[in-house]
Order: sequence, then structure tokens, then C-alpha cells
Amino acid sequence: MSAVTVRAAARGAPARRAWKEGALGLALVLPPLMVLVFLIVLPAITAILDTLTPDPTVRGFTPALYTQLLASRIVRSDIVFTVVVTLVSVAVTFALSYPLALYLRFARGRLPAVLAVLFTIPLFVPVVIASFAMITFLVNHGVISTIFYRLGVQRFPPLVYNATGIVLTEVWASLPFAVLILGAGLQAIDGALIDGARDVGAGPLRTFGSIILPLNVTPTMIALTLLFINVFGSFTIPYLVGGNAPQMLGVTMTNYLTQYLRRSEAVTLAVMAFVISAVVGAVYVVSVSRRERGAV
Amino acid sequence: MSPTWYWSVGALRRAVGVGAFLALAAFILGPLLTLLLWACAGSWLFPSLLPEFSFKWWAYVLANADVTKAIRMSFASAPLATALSALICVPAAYAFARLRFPGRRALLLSFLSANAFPKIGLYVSIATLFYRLNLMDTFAGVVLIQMVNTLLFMIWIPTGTFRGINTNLEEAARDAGAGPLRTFFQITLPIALPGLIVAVLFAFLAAFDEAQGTLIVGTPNHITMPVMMYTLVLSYPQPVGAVFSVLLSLPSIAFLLLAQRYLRAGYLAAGYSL
Amino acid sequence: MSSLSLRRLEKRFGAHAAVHDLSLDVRDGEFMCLLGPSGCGKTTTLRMIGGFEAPDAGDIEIDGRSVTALPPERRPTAMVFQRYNLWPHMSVAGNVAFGLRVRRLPRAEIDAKVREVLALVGLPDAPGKYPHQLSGGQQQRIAVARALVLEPKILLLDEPFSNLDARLRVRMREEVKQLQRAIGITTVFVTHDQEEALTIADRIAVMRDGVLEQVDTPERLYAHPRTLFVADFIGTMNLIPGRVDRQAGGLAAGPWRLPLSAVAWPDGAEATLAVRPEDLVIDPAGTPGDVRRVINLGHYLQVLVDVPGAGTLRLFAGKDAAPAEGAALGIRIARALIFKDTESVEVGTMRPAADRPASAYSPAADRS
Repeated sequence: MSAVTVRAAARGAPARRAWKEGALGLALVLPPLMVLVFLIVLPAITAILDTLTPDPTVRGFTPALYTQLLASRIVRSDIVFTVVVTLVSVAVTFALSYPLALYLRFARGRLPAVLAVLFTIPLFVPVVIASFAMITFLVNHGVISTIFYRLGVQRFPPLVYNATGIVLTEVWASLPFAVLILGAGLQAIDGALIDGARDVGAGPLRTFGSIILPLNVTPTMIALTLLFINVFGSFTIPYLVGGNAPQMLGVTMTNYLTQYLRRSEAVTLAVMAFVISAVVGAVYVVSVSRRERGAV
Repeated sequence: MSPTWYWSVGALRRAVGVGAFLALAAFILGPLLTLLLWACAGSWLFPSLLPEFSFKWWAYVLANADVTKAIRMSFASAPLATALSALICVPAAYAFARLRFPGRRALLLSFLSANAFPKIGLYVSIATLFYRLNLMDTFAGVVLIQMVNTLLFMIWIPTGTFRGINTNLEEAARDAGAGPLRTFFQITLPIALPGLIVAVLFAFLAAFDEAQGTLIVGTPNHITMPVMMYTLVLSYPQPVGAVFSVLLSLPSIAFLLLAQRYLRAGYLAAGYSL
Repeated sequence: MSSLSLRRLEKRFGAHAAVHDLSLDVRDGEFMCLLGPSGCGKTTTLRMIGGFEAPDAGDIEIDGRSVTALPPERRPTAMVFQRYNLWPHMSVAGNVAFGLRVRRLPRAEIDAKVREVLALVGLPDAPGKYPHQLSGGQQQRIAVARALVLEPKILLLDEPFSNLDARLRVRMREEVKQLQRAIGITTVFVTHDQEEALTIADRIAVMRDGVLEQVDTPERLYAHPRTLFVADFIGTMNLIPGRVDRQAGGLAAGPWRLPLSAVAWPDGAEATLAVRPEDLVIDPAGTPGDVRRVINLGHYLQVLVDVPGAGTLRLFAGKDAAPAEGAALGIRIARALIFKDTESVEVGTMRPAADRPASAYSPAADRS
């Protein structure tokens, strides 16, 4: 091969290599992407379109289904109930998990080691079992109430089949997620940064507020948004542990689908759930993408 | 008296610490232990602190035809969903980790969408699609629902795993004469194995424990164990649900023990920092 | 006979040119060092030779045949990386034998070659061990063994010892040098440590910002650096800024006036006077300065002297010279280089303008 043609080939080679790499990458990614589209994108889009065209004889989009559902007092109270329960659950979980994550990050010894194993246990318990376990634990004449009875407490407040039960169970199931995500974020903060703050005289509270909290913002956002989405859209826990009314949206829409057999209304409620949590979902994706920025 | 005073008193701090630990332990373990007691219970009447022990309900549950059917369905669908996900997702994960192609980052983030929406809403929407395609109450429908949960684990964890393998190791193999395929199978894959096993573990558990979507799509003929739980909890005596809970937990426990050495902090966090 | 030729190599990352118009010839059996500060493009160049980066322009020839289009697995090169050489899931024997198995050599031959090369790098008992059981130095030796067992035409090393502690680093590079001499394999070694390059290289290619500054033997690089960068980068150099002043007789730098008859540089142009510490001689009749510090290095002394107008200069003195800190000292320049832009001039013994230079000097106007 003459030097000239070789040099020409060398010039074209990198561009061709990049093109081949790009095509191969896309080809490998295509199968799971197709499944994703089929299972998530397609249903979501058809759902939205269906709810906007409830009557096949009427052309064009109409929000009739939405206005109809929102006119129902039951549906409105269900929505409010869902949001309130979600916010309370997220707040309680966060309030419990952050100190736990901090403790696991900074404490030494046997106790933290045991705690580290303990808090991951709910991860391995299916939600159905967790709900059932909570019921047997908290129900009137269950274990807790029996202990209190033995201690002389006659009246025991109802802890299950109501919002309290839902919150307690959601917290139980969400704790490990929150601790792991926050913990991973704390792990990423170099010990030197914290030692530096203490070296210049910052106490533990100051160090937490000025150093740790700001550096752990992205994992915090990920934890909060994930918790919100999980609790907001949960079905099993409110279905088993919740009361009859008001319901969380997950139960409401499932009932519309499988019990009342009113598919369109069920999907409309689903879309409403999407919309309400859309902002939270967007923040979730942005936060994860920001965390992965160094790596992705 | 400043709040920092009592933190500096060691004994008090320890006492608070131990107290908090016990409270947390009670909160987390209490419900599970209660369930375990119910599983060994003949009957448990208020206000006794412990039940009458008996294993009669085990015989009852295991003899129930619906129960055995559900067990078979679970063990048929979950491994299949996991295997299919692994098959299509692991090569994609490698592409995400190593190859440059347009839209790489956006596509990787799009797999988060399963997490970004309330799942029940997704399942309801999928149900309406399945009605149209006649996938309701079919085995394929159940497997597909389970795959909604496995896809994410089988993309994100393997991508992170492959990315964590230093490129020098692969380049050294190419340098020694191995082509890209041989390098992948003899170098990359073996080194990535622990991470991939963790991914398979999480994915399987997600598929196996999936309840709400399967309830919608699989009823009445394709019921998995978690879906069976709903009925047992609502319509049967407490010990029945408890016994079945123990059965349903067995795969989780088994995997926990088997994969113990892979469940180091980093890998565990990787699975749940999604 | 394995020669390597780089012809006008070009590599860009985005808008930044990591390597620009680089041409270099490495002779058969030569130990060539690519030397330069971080980001100078030396590792990128090495990776292009190995096939891990594709040049945007230019060509790479081994023994006269172009290899630019070949992927790494088909190039007759073998690379030792800075880190992560050995595959953790394979034993040492597995690591070394991998390339031989790819070539489908018979089992017995593979075993023999593996044993031979491990003995060569001084680790005959290693075959059954796993990488995590070896020290950093041992791991790098295995990496070298793995590269050599394939009998490549060109051996490439990317700062293989920079992660090891100082004494081990010195020992390892000596071993690699001896090995290379014994086998006679053409080698390209990347480093940022000029002392390392000076010690082991047959020739050094000094790079800066993607461009080749000078290629020469260590001796010539040290004695005759062609640019100010090379002069400063190689060894220690005292740099005194100055200016061309025809009225004063040539170059005015600090208290020194040096004739510039050999070059026609414009009046007022800036130039730098570069003097090696060993070329600054203590002379009571020389330019006065004050001793700021004396550093005792055991077998010789480094003396830091403040010379008004020239800053703090470093010079070497024998143990018995022992000037006191704070004392006054006379200094004479025995030899120096003067750099202006891309030109340089060498001047011999000089005296300050105050007492007229009576002694002749031997200017070797080495203009490049």
C-alpha cells in the first residue's frame, strides 16, 4: 500500500470506527428499549389519549372524564387523603432515616454493625408480607395492644385499618431505601471535609448544617422523590392495612378497574396520579442524572 | 444548659443510643416475629402473650390446591422474567458502559421511568393495553408485568458494574491478541460476575414479590404467591396467612444466604440507590 | 530488525490538540523515552502506537509497514499499563499464558514459555499465585513478563512504576533497562520524571503541549538543550532574564554582560540566560552575592546565593568549600546558554562588565 493511500485510510478510519461503534451501541440497546416502550411508554400514551376521548362518537379531545371524576366528593377526598398520607409518611421516614444514616456513617463499634444489618431487613420482605405482619402486630388484641393491656393500659387506640396504619407500614417498608440512599451519599463525603470543619471549631450541629447537608443534597432529593412516588402510588399497603374510606388513589383506581369494571375511570385516575407526581418524578430523574454525572 | 451538655456525658449518650436501638429493633423485628409466632400457632387468644403452638395450619395450607398452583406459577414466571431481562439487558448495559452512541445518556435515564411513575398507575394503563391485545389473564401477561420491575435492575446495576472495570484490563486483553468478543467473555464477564449476580438477585426478588400488577393482570387463573396472599390475608384465619408468609419469604431468605458474600455494602447500595 | 516510525501524528479531543504534527523514528533495539509534564500528549502518543487511540491524521509504521489501520490485537506491540494490568480472576500463569492461548500454541510450549519468562523477570515461583497475593512491584513485573512472552516487535510502557515507592521505582527501572538490553527489544517508555528518563533512555523525546520539543541522547539534551523549556525541564537550571543591549556589549542579564557576536539579535530583545549549577564557580574575583542557604547533601553541597539583579541562584560546591550562611561570595559563570524565542547560543567563561574580560572564551555558537 502506498504511503498516500495509507494516510488517506488513516484519516478516514477514526470516523468510520466511531460510526460502527455508534451503530453497535444502538443495536445492543434496542431490545430492552423496545420492551420499555411497549410496557411503559405505549400504555401511558394510549391511556392519556383514551381518557381524553371517552366517547367514540364524539371527535376531538374532551376533559369530560376528568371533570366528572373530580366532581365526585369521594374521589376528591381520596386524592387529598393520598397526598396527605404520602407527605406524612415521607416526612416520618426522612426524620428517622437521616439520623440513622448519620449514625451508621460516623459511629464505630458493634452496635452500628448490628444496626446496619437490622435496617436492611425490610428490603427482603415482600410488601404483602410486611403489611400482614404489621396488621398482626398493631391490631387491637395484637401483640402491642396485649403488652399494653398487661401493663394496665385499658384503652388502645386503633392503629390499623386507618391512615395511621398506612403511615406506619409505609415507614417500615421505606426506611431501608432512604437509609441506603442517604448513606451512600454520606459515604461519598470525604472525611477530610468534615474533619476540616471540626478543626476550625464547628460543632456537630453546625457541621451537619453547613457541610454535610449541602454536600448531600442530591441523594436527599433522590430519597425524597423516590419515597414520595413509592408511597403515592402504593396499592398493597393501603389495600390491606387501610380502612374503607377514604382510600389511597392506588386502591381507588384498582377498584374502578377490577371491581366496578369501569376501565376508563380507572385509567383517568391513573393519569391524574401521573400528573400529580410528574413534578416529583421529574425531580427524581434530574437528581439521579446529576448524581451519575461524574460516572455517566 | 445547652443541649450539647448531655451529649458530652458518655453514659447518658450511650443510654439514649441503646434505647433508640432497642426501639428501632422492636419496630423492625416486632411485626416479623409476631408473624412467625402466628405461623406456629394453633390458636392465639387475647390477652395471652404467646399462642398455643401447633403446626396444623401448615398441613392445611400445603394441602390447598390453589396454594400449590400459585407456588408453581411463581416459580415458573419469576425465573423466566429474570432470565429474559438478563438476556436483553446485559449486552445493553455493556453498550451503555463502554460504547459511545447518540442519545446514550438520555436512553439510560429513560430506564428510570419505571421508577418515576406511580407503579399502580402504570399497571392500570398496561391493563387496558393488555385488554386490547388479549394478554389479560395469560402467562405472558404475568411475565411481562414482572419484567416491568426487573428491567431497571438489569440495566442499572450491570451498567455500573461494567463501568467499574478499568478499561486497562480490557485493553490488555486486546493487546495480547484477543478480539472484542473473546475479551468480553473471558475477561469482562468474569470480572463483572459479582455485580451481575447482585443484579439478578434483586431482579428475581422484584419479579417474585410483584403483587399489585399481577393481581390486576393475572386474576383469576394465573395467580402468583404474592397475589394469593391478598386472598389469604383478607379471607382466611390469621395462621393461614402467617404460614403462607413464611413460604413466600423462603426464596428471599435463600437468596440472602446464598449470595451473602456478594452483598457487601457497595453492591447493596448499588441495588437500592435507584 | 524492528524500527518504529511516527509520521506527522495528530490527535484531537474536541477542540484540544493532544498531539500535533508529531514525527519520530525509533531505531531497532533502542530504548526511547517519551518525556514531558502531565498533559503533554506522551501517553496519547503511546496509546496510538499500541492501537488504543486512532490518530486523526498521520501514520505509524513498524518495520516499514503501516499499522495504523490495525486494531490492538493484530499489532506487533505489547503494552504495560500504569495500573490494572493483571486480570484479577486469573492466576499469574493464566495471565501470562492468555495471549499464547489466543494464538493456539500447544499446551507444553505455553507452559515452557511461561516458566521461561517468569524466570526472566525474577519470579519463578509465581505461576500459581493470584494478583491480589502479589505486591505492586511484583504485579508490574508479571505485566512485563506477559508483554514479553508474546515476543512483540515493540514494547510499550506507560509510566509503569509511578505507583511504586521511590526505592522500588529505581530498582524496577534498572531491571527493565537490563532486561531490554539483554533481549534487544525496541522499547518506548513514557515518563514525567526527567531523572528516570536520563537514567535509562538511549534517546529521549521531550514533549510539551502535544508537540515534540527535542529528541536527543540524554547527554546532548542535558548539555545542549535547544529550547528554554527543555533547558529548564532537564536537570536543574538557573534562569536569569535578560535583554539584548548592544551598547553594553551583548546580553545584559543581572550583573553579567555577555558578548553576543555570534548572533545578530535585535537590540532590546528579551533573552534568558541559563546556567547549570555546576557551571557556576566560586571565585573571589567574580560577581558578588550573599549566601542565603547551604544544603548539605552528604557528598556535596548545594549553595543558594542571592545575586543582586539575578535573584537566588543555585550552585554546587565540594564538601570542603563550606561557605557560611550570610557570608559574601564571588561567582563566575564558566558556561551558559542564552535563549531567545527559538534560538540559542552557547557561551564559555564570562566575567562581569566591571572588570574587562581579558581571558578568551570558547564560544561554541550552537545555533539550532
